[in-house]
Parts: sequence; structure tokens; C-alpha cells
Amino acid sequence: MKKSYIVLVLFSLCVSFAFFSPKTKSIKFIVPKGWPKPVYDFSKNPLTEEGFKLGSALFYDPILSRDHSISCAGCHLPFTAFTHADHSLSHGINGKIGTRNSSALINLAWSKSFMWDGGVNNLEVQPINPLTNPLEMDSKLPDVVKELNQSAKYRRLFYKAFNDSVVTSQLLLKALAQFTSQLNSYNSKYDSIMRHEKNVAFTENEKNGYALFKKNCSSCHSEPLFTNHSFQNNGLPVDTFLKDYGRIKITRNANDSLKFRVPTLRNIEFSAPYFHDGRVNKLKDVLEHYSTGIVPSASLAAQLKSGIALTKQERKDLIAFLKTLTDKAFMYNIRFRYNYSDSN
Amino acid sequence: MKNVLCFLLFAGIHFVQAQNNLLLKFSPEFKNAVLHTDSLYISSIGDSIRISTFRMYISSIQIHYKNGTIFKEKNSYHLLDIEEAKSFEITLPASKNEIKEIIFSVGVDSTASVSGALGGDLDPGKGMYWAWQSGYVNFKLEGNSPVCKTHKNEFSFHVGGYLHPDYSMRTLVLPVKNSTEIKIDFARFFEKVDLAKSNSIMIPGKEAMKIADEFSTIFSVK
Repeated sequence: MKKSYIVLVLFSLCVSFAFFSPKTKSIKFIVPKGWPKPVYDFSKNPLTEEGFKLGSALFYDPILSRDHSISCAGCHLPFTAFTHADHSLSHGINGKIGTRNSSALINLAWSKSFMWDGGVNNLEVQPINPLTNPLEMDSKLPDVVKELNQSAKYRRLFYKAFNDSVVTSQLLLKALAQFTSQLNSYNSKYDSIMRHEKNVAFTENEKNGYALFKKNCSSCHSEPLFTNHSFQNNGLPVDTFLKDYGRIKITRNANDSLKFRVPTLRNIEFSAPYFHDGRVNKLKDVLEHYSTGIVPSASLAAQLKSGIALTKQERKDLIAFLKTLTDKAFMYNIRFRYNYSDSN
Repeated sequence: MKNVLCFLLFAGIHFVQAQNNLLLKFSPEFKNAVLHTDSLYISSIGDSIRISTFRMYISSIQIHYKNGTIFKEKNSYHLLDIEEAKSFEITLPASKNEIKEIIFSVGVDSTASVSGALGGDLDPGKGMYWAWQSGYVNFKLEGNSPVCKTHKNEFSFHVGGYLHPDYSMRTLVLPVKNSTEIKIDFARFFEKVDLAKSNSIMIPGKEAMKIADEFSTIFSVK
């Protein structure tokens, strides 16, 4: 009799635990019409509102840096397409300066590799770089994990997102990927036109610019992502201070000397400065480089061998087109902002 | 009486469990002495050597039995760290059949290397993961020897790389007679590696491949 009573109590406890385990609200990842399938494997990190909010809280929290002075958002601000405006090289704690221009975080789920040299093979493990780089956040994963476990707020948020209040580096990285994989931009004027939406059309200048873009730029900055995710030497002279030879450091293949990731051109109007070391501030200077500044070398992209000759008017048109890639709905998306994680 | 029964039941369960376990033990040694960190060893070519760090991944463990059956451990990734003796003992389910050979890999395969953030022994916070160039360090061997003309005479082998042609994981097939204790004889490693010339490996590549080859020859079943 007594035994069956205990069994009953245990059974009802189990049932109530099942009811008490946190419910998550799943999020459907949108692949815009005509776009390729994303590379990131969402099956191993199903998107949820709770996971996204946790990722957002972490992204904006300086707790991730060794001295609690900077957050991911320090170099990746929403209003500048998730990069760092006005700073050629990324910043770290104690005013330290990194060696490369912080990348704009846009449509990352479609990327096969990360960082300017492509050394990182999965979106989830990318944050380990800024987190542990002594010139950036200078943390150690076990230390960050320990701090998060000491925070009642994060234990609660991890429990809500992953049904586990014990923070691990795996869950920390998955949470960040919940946020970064959703920083997607596909609502620019260009997109509206491609979708044949009503009352939107290119101006004459933009139209000319689009034609010039297709002729001169799209072999690498391919639509719709405006990158083919390859690594190219675009003829920039080597910075004699930084001496950065790009992808060769990863592949140790001489053919990859001076090659860097082809970045997306989406939101380029707001993601200045440009190039891997942020050496140029204005789009017209970017075009000046492609037009007159190409430095020949063995690994130079074949398409750039004789530069891209552009008249003054053509440059204006091209820039007018590039500005149609600005996606205000992306940059001003309330979901991507600081404190969104506090909302209900 | 009840207590005695409980005890017997408990002991019985333990006994059955012990019967159902196969202990795969890795024993780091130098010649025939147990390897300790910071003890002094003399290699056969006369180098004096101290080892300060030894950590390695053992993965994809398989037991092949003489009757043709095979046991493959699921999710088989183990981080062995000389600072934690217990990590050198891997418990597997036992079988009545006689073991023919043990197969395992030293290092982490390419699948796990591209699978994002993993947990357990593959947690990237364990100090065996390269951030700037994604991938695991298959093994870390650090120490010092006066023949190394380096800072504090240190040598440091961080061997990894999962992309061809620099895939540095090594799969070993070891025939078994009586024991499932695997000796790792560092004397054999330092017999072959000229520390004066090769004492620092921190990236994947040809050098790492060579060291991985040498390292894979020092395992044997006791």
C-alpha cells in the first residue's frame, strides 16, 4: 500500500516537472525567395524566441570581456550594419587596437567561413576569436562561463532558452548564434525592386549603376548575397605596418597570399570604413582604388588585371546603385536593439 | 536482516556492473617507468627531458572480437590529461568474447572539427581548440630540454589540423593478447624527434604531420 503511494507521488512529480519545463517559442528562419539554402545547420540549434533574447542579451553585455568594459556590440553596432563606423581597426579592452576592420554582421547563416581570412569554419565558433583575442575582449572561455553561472539573470535566461540553467561554453556559443544567425538583411530598395513590389523603381542613375555593377563587380559580389564567399586579392598594396597577407596564414598556400574575404555589399552605405584594414572611408575612394589603384601581383584576381575603368559619371551611378542596398528595416529593427532581451 | 539484504542486493549490482565493464587504460611511460610531469628523463640519444604538459584526444574507439563482432563506442571522444589520472581510464562495456584488436584514433576527426560548438570533452573551453583557425589540437606535449635553444629551453608540440593534406589525426590498430592496457612510451618519441631541430609546432602543416606520425608509433598493448 505504502509502496504504491510512493510510486504515485513520484509519478505525479514527474508529470508536474514535465509541465514546468520551460516552453520555448520557435522561430521560423526565413529564406527569401530565390536565395540559396543557408549553410548554418539550424537542426542542431533550433531557433527560439528565448534563445534569440539570450543571444541578444549576451551580444550587448560587456560581461564577456575580461574587465567588463566592452561587448560584441562595441564593434558591431546595429545602426552601422553591425560594424564599427569611424574605426579602421577593431578596438579591444584598455584601448587596444586589433589588426583588422571589424566585419559587418549580415546574412551570416549563408556564410561557409568567417573572419577576413576564412579561418573559422562555423558560425558558432566565430565568437571565440573576439572573446579570447588579447587585443579584443581578452577573456578565457572557462572564466566567462564561470561568471555567467554566477549570474542569476543568465542562469534564468539559459534555463528558459535551453532548459538548462548550467551555462557551458557550448550553450553560450549556441545562444550567440541564435542572435547572429538572425541578423538578416533582405529588405533594401534593391530587394523591393527584385520582388517587383509596387511603386518602387530604380532612378536612371541607379539603373545605370546596376548595369555597371553587373558588368564589373558581380563576378565576386554575386547577387543576392552580394558576395560569392570566395577569397580574392583585390590589388591593395600591403600595409607596411600591419604586414597582413590574409588567407595564406590559414592555407599556407602561396596562391592565397594577399587574399581576403569578399565582403557583402549590402548596407555598404553605412558600413564604412572599407577593406580588411579599413584603410578607406568613402565609397568614391573604394572605386578610385578599383579604377586606378590596383597593384599587380601573382595572386591578383584575374578580373582586376587591368583595373575597372570608370568615368566620373559612372562612379556616381555605381554609388547610387550601391545605396539601394541599404536596408533601414534591418538597421532599425527593434528586435536587434540593445535591451530587446528585456522585452516580453 | 533487511539491511543485510539491501547490502547484498547493492553489492550484487556492483558486481554485475564490474563484470560488464571493460577498462581501456592508457599508461604514459618513459622506457619502463611511469611518466610524471616535471621528472627528469634521459632519452636514448642522451637528451635530458622534462615533460610539463601532456593532453590528447582519443576518439572513435572500436573493439574487434575474434568471433568477428565489433563494438563501436558512440560519441567516442575522450580528452586525456596527465594532470587527471582518471582521464586515462576509459570504461567500455565488456563482452565474453576474446578481443582480437583495439582500434582508436589519436585526435579529433574532421566531422567534429566542423560541427560548431560542442560539449563534454570537446568543449572549446578545454584549451584544446584553436580559435583563429577552427579545429582541435589533437595532442599537446610541452616540456623542456637543454638541447632546445629556445626561451627557458622549452619545447612545445601542439599538433592538429583536420584538412587534407594536413589531416593530423592518426588511427591505430593494436592487436590484443591478454591485457587492454595501452602503453605510451615517450622514450620512443624522443628517440626519433631531434629536439634541437624540432621543438615548436603550433600550426597544422607538414611538420605537424611528421610529429603526428612519430607519435602514433609509441602506442602498444602491454
